[in-house]
Amino acid sequence: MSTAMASSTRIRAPTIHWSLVVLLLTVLALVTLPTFLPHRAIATATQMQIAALFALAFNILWRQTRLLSFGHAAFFGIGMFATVHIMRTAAGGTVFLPLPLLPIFGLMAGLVLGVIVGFFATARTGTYFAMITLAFAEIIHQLSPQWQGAFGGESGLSAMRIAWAGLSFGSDKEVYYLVLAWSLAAIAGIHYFTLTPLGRLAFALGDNEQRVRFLGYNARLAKTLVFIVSAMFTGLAGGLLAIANENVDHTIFRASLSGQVVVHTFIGGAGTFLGPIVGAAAMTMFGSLAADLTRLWVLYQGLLFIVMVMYLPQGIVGLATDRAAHWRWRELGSLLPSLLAVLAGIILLVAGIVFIAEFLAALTTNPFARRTDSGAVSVALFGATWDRAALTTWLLPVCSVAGGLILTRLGARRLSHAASAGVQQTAHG
Amino acid sequence: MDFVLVSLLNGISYGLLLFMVSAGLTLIFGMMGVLNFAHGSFYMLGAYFGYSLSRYANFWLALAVAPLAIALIGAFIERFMLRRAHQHGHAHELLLTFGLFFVFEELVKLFYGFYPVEYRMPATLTFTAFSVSGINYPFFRLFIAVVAVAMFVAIFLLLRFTRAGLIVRAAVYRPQMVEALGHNVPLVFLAVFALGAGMAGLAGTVAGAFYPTSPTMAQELGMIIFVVVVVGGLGSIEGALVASLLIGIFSSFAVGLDWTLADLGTPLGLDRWLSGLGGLLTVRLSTMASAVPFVLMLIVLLIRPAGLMGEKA
Repeated sequence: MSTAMASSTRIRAPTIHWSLVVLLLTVLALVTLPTFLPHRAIATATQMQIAALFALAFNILWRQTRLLSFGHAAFFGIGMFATVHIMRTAAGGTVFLPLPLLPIFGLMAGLVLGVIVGFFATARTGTYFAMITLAFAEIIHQLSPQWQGAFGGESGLSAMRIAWAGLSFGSDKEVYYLVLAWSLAAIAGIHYFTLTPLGRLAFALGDNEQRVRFLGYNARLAKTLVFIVSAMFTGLAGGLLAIANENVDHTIFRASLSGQVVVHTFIGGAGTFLGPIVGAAAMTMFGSLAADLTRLWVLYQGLLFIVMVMYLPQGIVGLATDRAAHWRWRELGSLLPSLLAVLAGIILLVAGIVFIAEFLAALTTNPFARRTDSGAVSVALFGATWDRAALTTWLLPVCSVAGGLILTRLGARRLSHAASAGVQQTAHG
Repeated sequence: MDFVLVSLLNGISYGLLLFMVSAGLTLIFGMMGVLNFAHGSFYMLGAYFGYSLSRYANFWLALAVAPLAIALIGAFIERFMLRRAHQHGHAHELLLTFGLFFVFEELVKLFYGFYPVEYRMPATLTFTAFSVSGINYPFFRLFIAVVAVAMFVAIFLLLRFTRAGLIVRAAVYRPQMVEALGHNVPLVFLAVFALGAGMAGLAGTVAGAFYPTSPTMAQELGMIIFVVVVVGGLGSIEGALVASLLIGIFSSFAVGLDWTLADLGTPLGLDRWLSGLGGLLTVRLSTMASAVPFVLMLIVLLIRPAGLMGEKA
């Protein structure tokens, strides 16, 4: 072992920075994507980027300082309103305001609101912090429809994208590239922030605030600054959505938007940098795909969130990086059966639950249920007709769920044994 | 004067309803340190269970069975879900209840549809209790108040004068110490969570028959009960009672507030200048009333996070 190590230090193979390669490929894919995609998919891809940036900005607070905000819709919304106002001013044509620069006003609006809310919210921690952010967001949510001038009352405000430098910004493609440029810049900015002294201090605050204070830092000030950075990028995400949607109304401040970003972040993996991006992009994409197929998407997303919180608290990305670090690739062959078992179990579970939910939904919303001459109620679902009273209609999904549960449990147990054995081997070897 | 009396009665009745829901929430927070986002959902489920049961049986059976069913759901959540999430930390318990809130709302939409259901109070209770200057005061409002008071008395006696109540009160303040003394604290947690859920369910069963029963009721009430428990002091039952009544009476009177912020300038002769400024200054206070509880909550959180009567900060 020691000789191997010695030789590896002597002869250094040229190392490939795989993460850099992956990053470059991803950016390349994102840039070329619109040429392959149909119109609607481009619009969805734009929404995915905005959701990803929103979640990433939200997670600055949680991942680094362990502060859970339940009021981030306030910063997102204020960024949107500010940008729409500026777009309206730009449409007047008296001031020089090129459209690609307008999201900066969303960022500034988020920053200003972030200073105010951050100053108060960081006075407390834990549940109390969450409650303060929630209270601020809810106050804005309740007052905004009353304030006609600033928030356009119940009907909201709309604006138009004004052409600039030969770009009309009329097509989804041009908007996509505008949003992409800003998102990539912002993601790079947020990543850079984690490396700055303040960003490092933020991690320390999350680990042990008392100790940071003992070292002589002003913890409250540091937390406020991190809060402001988070609010600022959230406002930027809002500004981008304002440009993509060209309108906004007071419902953007609703508590469910603040909740949505929490759900996205934790499904993706709140403990990792990429988690919120992956979670938000995936959930937005599935939401857009599922919107045509089912009205139960929110239910499925909620169930997925609960399962993640209970069984995979590290999220999708967290799980992937964890496992990649612990497994040895040459053991993959022996692990393959367990992996396949888990996969098959999950498919069975999802199929069973989706069937039951969709069947119930079809039964409760009458137009889809058909009463035959014999009086039996049947529903057409997944290319077959199912009788409500038939035993198989219920037995099939229940067996599927039960089988899925057993398979997942058995497979997961073997996998975690293998993972812990791998850890032990690395430790002893 | 009659307006004041009726508003006061309405406020007290609504406040007592808020108390029925928030009592469990505040107890659970005091003990487990978890602010249960799904607590409003128990209220909603109570109303829907009550609706279904009163359709297939009758209101009185619903009143007895629905809260029990909700308590069982609460027990299940505590035993099989919260305890698992607890291993991953406090934040994950909070997130779990948050996810449950979403799922319950969607499940209700799945089974009962998006629109309010026809959950009516029984005919035997639909009569006028008394009339004040032409306003007929419905008996059912008094019924809600009576149920709430009965519940408060029962809870108070249980907590104050029984051995189980003594252990619960101790566990609210020092769970680890109580466990060290040999009591089964997880069982106490389970019981209190179920009890709290059941109380919220009872409130839903009673109030759902009077107020609209719709999938949004969990969110609407959920926000207000957060305000109640924060203002009253997280973990304090007495505080929750005082804050419930305060917010209930305020909401009831706010509807009648017909003046604007600009009117505050009248004694100084500034009212016309202020209303010229527009913006929030010219908005009627009655329309801004929905924001006031949150302002109150904010002030309490910033100045006295322990709340009106809480002892823990």
